[in-house]
Amino acid sequence: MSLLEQPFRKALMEGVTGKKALVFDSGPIISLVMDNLAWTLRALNKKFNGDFYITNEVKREVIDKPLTSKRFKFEAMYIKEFLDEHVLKLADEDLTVETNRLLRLSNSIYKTRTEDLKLFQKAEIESLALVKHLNAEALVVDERTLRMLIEEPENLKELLNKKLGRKVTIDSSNLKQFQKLIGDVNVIRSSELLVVAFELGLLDKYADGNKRELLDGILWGVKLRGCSISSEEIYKIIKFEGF
Amino acid sequence: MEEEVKKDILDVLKKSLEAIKKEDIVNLRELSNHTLHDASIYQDDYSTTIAIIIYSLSKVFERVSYREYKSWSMFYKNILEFFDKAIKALEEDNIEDYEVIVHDMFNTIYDLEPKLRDYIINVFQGARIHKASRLHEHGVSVGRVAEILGLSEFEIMDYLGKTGIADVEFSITRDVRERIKFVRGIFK
Repeated sequence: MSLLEQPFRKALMEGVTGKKALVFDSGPIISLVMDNLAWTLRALNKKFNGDFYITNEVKREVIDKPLTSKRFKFEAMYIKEFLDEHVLKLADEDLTVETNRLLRLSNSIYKTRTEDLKLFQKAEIESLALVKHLNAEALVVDERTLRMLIEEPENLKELLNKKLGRKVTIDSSNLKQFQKLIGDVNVIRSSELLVVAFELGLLDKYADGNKRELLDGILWGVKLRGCSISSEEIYKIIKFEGF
Repeated sequence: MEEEVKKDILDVLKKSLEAIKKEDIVNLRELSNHTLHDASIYQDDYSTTIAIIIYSLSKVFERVSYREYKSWSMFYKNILEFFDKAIKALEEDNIEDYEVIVHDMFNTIYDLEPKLRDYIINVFQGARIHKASRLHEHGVSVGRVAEILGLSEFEIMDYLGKTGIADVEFSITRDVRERIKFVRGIFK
């Protein structure tokens, strides 16, 4: 089924499952595991009353590949347990056609004089395709490039211009096609999931009477493990949480 | 090899050779940054490999203590030879030879005494992660960077967290309060 038939698909999925869905890219799983906070996914999953999905490509990145290494073998085993417990579900849909189409488009939006800038990889784009396929509530992604493409494509152009020292242009036709295919996609990060976990009291046992420090600690923890949240955003969160 | 890549690598090799001879480590580091533009745009093995080599050499030459090892002079001689041969191969447009020369340069490291060899290998391994974070800083996604450099996303994410990349103004795309409001809504 093509992505252009999403409204039909949406109705179909809602009718069939009636369940909400979040789709996880590799990054947030890695950040949460490395910050020893992946366990919060169990309670969040229950509270969500829906399913947390990963794609085959993400599974390959966070389980299959590290299982063959020495350095991150245990982390891979740890993540596998979440799949075994169905806290994370492996999407079994074949999204090859949609993924390849989105990958081709996303990698031909930004151009230098002579080259298309190939900024994205299959796993990230497959997760995006799955969000559309499931009509999921959001894509959970910790790295900034895909988030920028979805939310502020002009910002990404400016960044590329500045960093590459060459004029980078946007192929408006490809960008429009890409945006038409993905529609409105909500993007969240592991940091926002942790704020909700914090508000739900899941981490209270660590507070030791100082919830401000707890919030500061979990947000900096996930930032230092690779979640693309700025220090300023952390400061804002702490402030509007009333500390 | 793309003509522009070849031209840039040749230029970097010549300037790096000069910098090494003059012990100009700062310039060597700057040259390694220059190679990153090509690595971000073309994402080919040639550009990424030369970026890693020049950055690693800048780190190795920065450590004066390495020069006390017996096999340092052998390493230094091998590196000068590598530059001479690589420049000649590219000038003659002999890409096959160039590939062999790069490969041989890595192999000569294994002939060094164990301690110096291990230090240098560590520098080269660290350089891959460093270049991965720099490629991401240049706008390439984490997944794509992992793919280009053959690294695990675990390694890259861990390194990225210690950089200021997330604090760059361009990286902030939505108001964080709104984003959290949305997440609260879906967990109600």
